[in-house]
Amino acid sequence: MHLSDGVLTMPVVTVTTVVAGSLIAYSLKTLKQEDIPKISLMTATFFVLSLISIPIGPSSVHPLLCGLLGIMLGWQSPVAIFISLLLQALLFQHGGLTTLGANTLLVSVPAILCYYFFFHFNKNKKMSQTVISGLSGLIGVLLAVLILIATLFITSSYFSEGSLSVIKLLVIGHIPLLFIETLLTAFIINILVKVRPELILRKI
Amino acid sequence: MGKSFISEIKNIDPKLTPSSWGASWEVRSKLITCVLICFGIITLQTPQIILTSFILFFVLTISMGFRFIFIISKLILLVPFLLFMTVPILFANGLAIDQERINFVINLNGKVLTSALVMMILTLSQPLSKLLQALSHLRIPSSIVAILMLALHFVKIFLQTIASYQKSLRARGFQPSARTNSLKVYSGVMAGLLLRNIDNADKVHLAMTARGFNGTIPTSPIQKFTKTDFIKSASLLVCMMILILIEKWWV
Repeated sequence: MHLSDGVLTMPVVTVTTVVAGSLIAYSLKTLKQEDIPKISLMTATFFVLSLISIPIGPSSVHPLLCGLLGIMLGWQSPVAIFISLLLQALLFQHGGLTTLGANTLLVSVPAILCYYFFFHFNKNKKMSQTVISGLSGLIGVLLAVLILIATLFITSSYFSEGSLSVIKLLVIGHIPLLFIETLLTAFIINILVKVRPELILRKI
Repeated sequence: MGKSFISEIKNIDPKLTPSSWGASWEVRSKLITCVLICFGIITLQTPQIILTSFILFFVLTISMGFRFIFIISKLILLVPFLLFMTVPILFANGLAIDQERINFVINLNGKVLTSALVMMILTLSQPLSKLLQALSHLRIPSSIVAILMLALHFVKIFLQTIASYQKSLRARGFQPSARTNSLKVYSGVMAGLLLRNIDNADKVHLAMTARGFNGTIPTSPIQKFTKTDFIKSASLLVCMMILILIEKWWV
């Protein structure tokens, strides 16, 4: 899910950097000084959790956790995601500097939408909490893949050409993650609500 | 899982000697120069110019004192990503590959690899702590720098925690897979780590406040910006500008 430097064209890089910058600036506005240790810990936790590889056949996938991040951090998630991606670029050269904006948007926008989705449906009590959490995880990955596809499509038509184009391969590659992320988010939120309900339910 | 990343983090401190021109380069000017160069690289459109820039930065990294094998080992990490991007584009119309498609693929690979070299110059020519210190002396919101520094500290601790979790799971006969039962175990581990850290966050905040934390992480004074640093930054930026100008007017 990391776009490296050099994949996106200058106009796409400019737009995504400006939009991501605005999102982070707004996110920083909601941040209080006492939140800094919490956000740092959560950033580190999500950074480490996203490194856990889950084997699927000969390959493996890493969870994105944007649904979970959105539910836990809400509007503060773009800052956590930005820092997490910056660390990945600095430590492992995953991603890049010019694509930092695009990569931040890929995860932040789904995270914020998942936050609204989860708390809207949880408030109405129309569905069970486990289903809503699972759906948040599913929507998170779906949206992230959609934004990634849109970004690549705008960059060049080469990414979408052919019966096995880069975009098609990306979609196929993320199908297992849809299933995994749905279950993981549902299970994790379930545990958190059972052990520390105030962490999740205080926001409703 | 975590182990390879722990060793990766340990390797983050470079093997460059302090006398290397890359290691002695003032970090703020290096940071700004490398970011500008990365943006310059993505504006390039011609395969010859992109290849020239790749050779230029390869020679520069070698001249800094990075070992040839080390550079190649870092670039090889990008191969799966590049193959994933290159093969479907090249063979989108079967074996009939047109020149435009080849140029696009060369450009893509060249830009990715050149940017990776620039990132290597930026991140691996001094300890990461120095880079973060330089960030704190730039006009970046202090909260971002504080979160970045604290997060990096916690990442190092959590990676070891995750590695020990993995060890104990294996000792109990856990077979990692994408099956529901396995995912339940994964989510148990993840939720456990989250809960533990949420509790720790409050303690950390209290401890930091008690030590006078006001939203800014204090850092030691930054290295002085000298004439030599200006020459290093200016020469690299001029090289990049020359490449862009050659492409605009002569190619």
